[in-house]
Amino acid sequence: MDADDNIYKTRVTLLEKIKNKHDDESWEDFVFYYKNFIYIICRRMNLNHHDSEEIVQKVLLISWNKLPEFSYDKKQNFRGWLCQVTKNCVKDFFRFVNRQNTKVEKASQDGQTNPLHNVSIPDIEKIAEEEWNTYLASMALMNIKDKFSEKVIDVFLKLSEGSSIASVGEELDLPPNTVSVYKKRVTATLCKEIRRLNHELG
Amino acid sequence: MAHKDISPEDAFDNVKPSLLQYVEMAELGQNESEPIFDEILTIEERYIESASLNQGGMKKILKTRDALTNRPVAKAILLDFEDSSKTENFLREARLTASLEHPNIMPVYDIGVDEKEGPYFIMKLVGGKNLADILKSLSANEEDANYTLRELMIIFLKVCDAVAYAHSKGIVHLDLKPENIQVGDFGEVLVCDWGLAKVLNRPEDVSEASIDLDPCIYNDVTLDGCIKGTPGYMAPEQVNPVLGPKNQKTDVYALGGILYSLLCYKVPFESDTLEKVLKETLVGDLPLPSERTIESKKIPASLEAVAMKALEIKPEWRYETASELRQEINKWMGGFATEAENASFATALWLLLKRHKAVSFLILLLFCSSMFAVYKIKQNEKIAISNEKVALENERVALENEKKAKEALDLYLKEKELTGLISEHTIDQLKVINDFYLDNLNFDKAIDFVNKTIEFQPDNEFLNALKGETHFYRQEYEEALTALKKAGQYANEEPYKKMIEIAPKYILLMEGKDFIKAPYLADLVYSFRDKHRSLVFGYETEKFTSNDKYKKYQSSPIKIAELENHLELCRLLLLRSQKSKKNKKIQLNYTYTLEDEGINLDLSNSHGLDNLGYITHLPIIKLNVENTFFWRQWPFKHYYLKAINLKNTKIKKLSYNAMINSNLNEITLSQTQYDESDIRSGVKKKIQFNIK
Repeated sequence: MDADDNIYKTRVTLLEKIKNKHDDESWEDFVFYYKNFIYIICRRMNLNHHDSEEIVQKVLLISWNKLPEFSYDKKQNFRGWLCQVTKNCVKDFFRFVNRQNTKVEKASQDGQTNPLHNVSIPDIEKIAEEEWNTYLASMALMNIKDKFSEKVIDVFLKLSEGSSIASVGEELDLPPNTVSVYKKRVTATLCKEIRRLNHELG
Repeated sequence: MAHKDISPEDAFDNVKPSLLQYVEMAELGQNESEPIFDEILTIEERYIESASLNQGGMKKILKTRDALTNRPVAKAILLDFEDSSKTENFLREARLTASLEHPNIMPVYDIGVDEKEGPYFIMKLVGGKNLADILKSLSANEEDANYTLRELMIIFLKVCDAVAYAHSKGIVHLDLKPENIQVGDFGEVLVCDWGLAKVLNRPEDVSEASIDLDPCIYNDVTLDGCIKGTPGYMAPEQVNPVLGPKNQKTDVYALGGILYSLLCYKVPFESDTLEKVLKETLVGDLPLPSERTIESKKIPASLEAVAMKALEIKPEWRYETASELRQEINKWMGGFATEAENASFATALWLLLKRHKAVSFLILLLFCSSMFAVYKIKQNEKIAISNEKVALENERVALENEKKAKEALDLYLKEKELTGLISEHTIDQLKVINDFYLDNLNFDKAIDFVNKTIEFQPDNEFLNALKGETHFYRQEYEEALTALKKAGQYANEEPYKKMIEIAPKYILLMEGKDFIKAPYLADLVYSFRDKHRSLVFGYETEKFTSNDKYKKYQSSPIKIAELENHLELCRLLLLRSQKSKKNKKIQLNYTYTLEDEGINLDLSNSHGLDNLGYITHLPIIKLNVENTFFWRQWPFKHYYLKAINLKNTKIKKLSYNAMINSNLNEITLSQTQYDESDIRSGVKKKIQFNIK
């Protein structure tokens, strides 16, 4: 228990920074990392681009107000919380839309039905975590992209989508050894970047 | 933290579920099954964590870590990488050092260009000290068990190895000194800092490579005051390029300097000012190491002799190669006599006894006689070899030197026009150049040179002294006097003092005359000594040295009168110069006829005549020295001489080797001087021998 405490003390995560200081810079970082994440969650819930952006604004506003009070408990997942907030916002949004459309009652038919009716809270946490990881990996890839040539990244993506070394090699006219070194190099760098982001974001 | 702004839509489009696997992989640390492999794959910057180690004028040495090999290394960076010529030189040094792969040469591991720090190269990071530090602590505390003389000689052998290797690759270091030798704790000896090193185009012919370097060094010495090489260890030819090309012998000199320091812990030339050091280097007046150390310290005479031989001012007197020098040290280590020691037979025998204490005296006695014979044979052989090459070499060196002096002068003048400055240093160099022209009896060039340089500092006392002196030799006494009057303090020094004293007399003697009468000229010549005497006379000789000039003098009665005046001068000087009979009067018979091609001079029966120094310049075609004390071999090198009578002279044995290159076709000898078996057939065909 003591050891765990220490870990949290030495690891000043972004959340802690915001909680403790609420300074502009940490907030900017927060927005940078989470804005797009919230947006992606919204889009996953089948909202269109415009509505998603609106929700993002709302969620960020709530976060700004609530975050300093947010008690970090390792049992409670922050992203779960964020997801929950997002979900509530989306719910509110649909309620609002539904109210607007009571007379027409058409919303449910054109795909704007409340998609959250069947999603329980633990599920949301799970979805949030999975979504987050994918988002994290994608962000990491974007961060390291510039260090490699397009071809190398191309090889890497093809392989991670399940193509075999032999077929990628054939397609891009590369010897299998080269393909394999490309993959290893990107994998190692990517994992390093993921770990870095994870560390930073807590 | 600065972020690249990514729009939410882009982020959404870029989400790739296929990447999810890597998050797990990263969390589980699965990709760390090959930690070294992955580390190497992800290294972005190879050399990290720099800390300054050392800084020179041009470059800075940092301690850094090579992330690939994971070892500490030294990184050299250029201080001013905006300057493209410096950059190029820096990288050239790196490449050149990298090309030298030898256990005793600082290895270069990598070369590159850094975005922030510019070009760099990576070297081995050596612990331990440099040799200069070791010498410093030795001189402070004479006893050090780690560095006995024997240990120091082992270090020196390794340095010789490195230098010999570089020479084999046609590369000369040109800045060898203890500071540039790194000594580790486990026998590592590394020669570093090849920043001044030169590639000799062809190892056997060094002239080309050195020509492109010489003016540049010359410039640096005189104008920037920045010397290429390190005073104290640099060879005379580095101080003054006129003295010869920089080549392997220059490194041999520096090795001699290092050996010298290893023996007495002191820099060979050590003075409070740079000028003094450079002057001493040129003069080469170096005390023996044993004279510069406390008496209780024993310095082996043989090693001392080796150092002094390597430190000879003339390249041709030094060891031929670094390997040769190395062998000498090796001999000492093995207890043999070194060559430089000129070991007597007794010394050699003593060393032999020392080496083989167990060998019985009886056996030694048996060996003695045969060894003595071998020793004698070896000595004769050595003399024969060394005599042969000298003549041809001298001529080549003279031509080369003149070319170089010209280049240096041109460049110098060009530079000076730009800067308009003359430093103290420069003036020393001017003197050297002027001397060079004078020594070659090129009086026109000498005065031209002085006049050009004095324009820039018309009031400089030394330049005025130089100008006056040069005019004096040229028999322009009025100009000489005017200049010498502006020579300030120099007017009290010789030869200027004497010149000021006698110039008025010669102004009067010259008035309305075409030439000065022989007796006055003879007095003039004998008013000076040594070099100045030969220059005063040299100006006279220059008028008649070739038979082209000689023919011109035959064109008019006035000219013939001047020629005859000169021949009279030669007669007077011949009389004055004979050394052999101090008390007895010399009888000089001196008759000549002026023939079309040259002079026919008869000195026969001049009893006591032995020194013909004052007539060697004349275009003599026939010379008769029968019944004189003449003993020198110079007639065989005399360009115009066709016939000579040497009967009854002090010449006992003719140098037939020299004859093959002469223009002689008739030699008269007495029977005792002639040994037919000794004469090569080629010589016999060319020359007719009259035996009487």
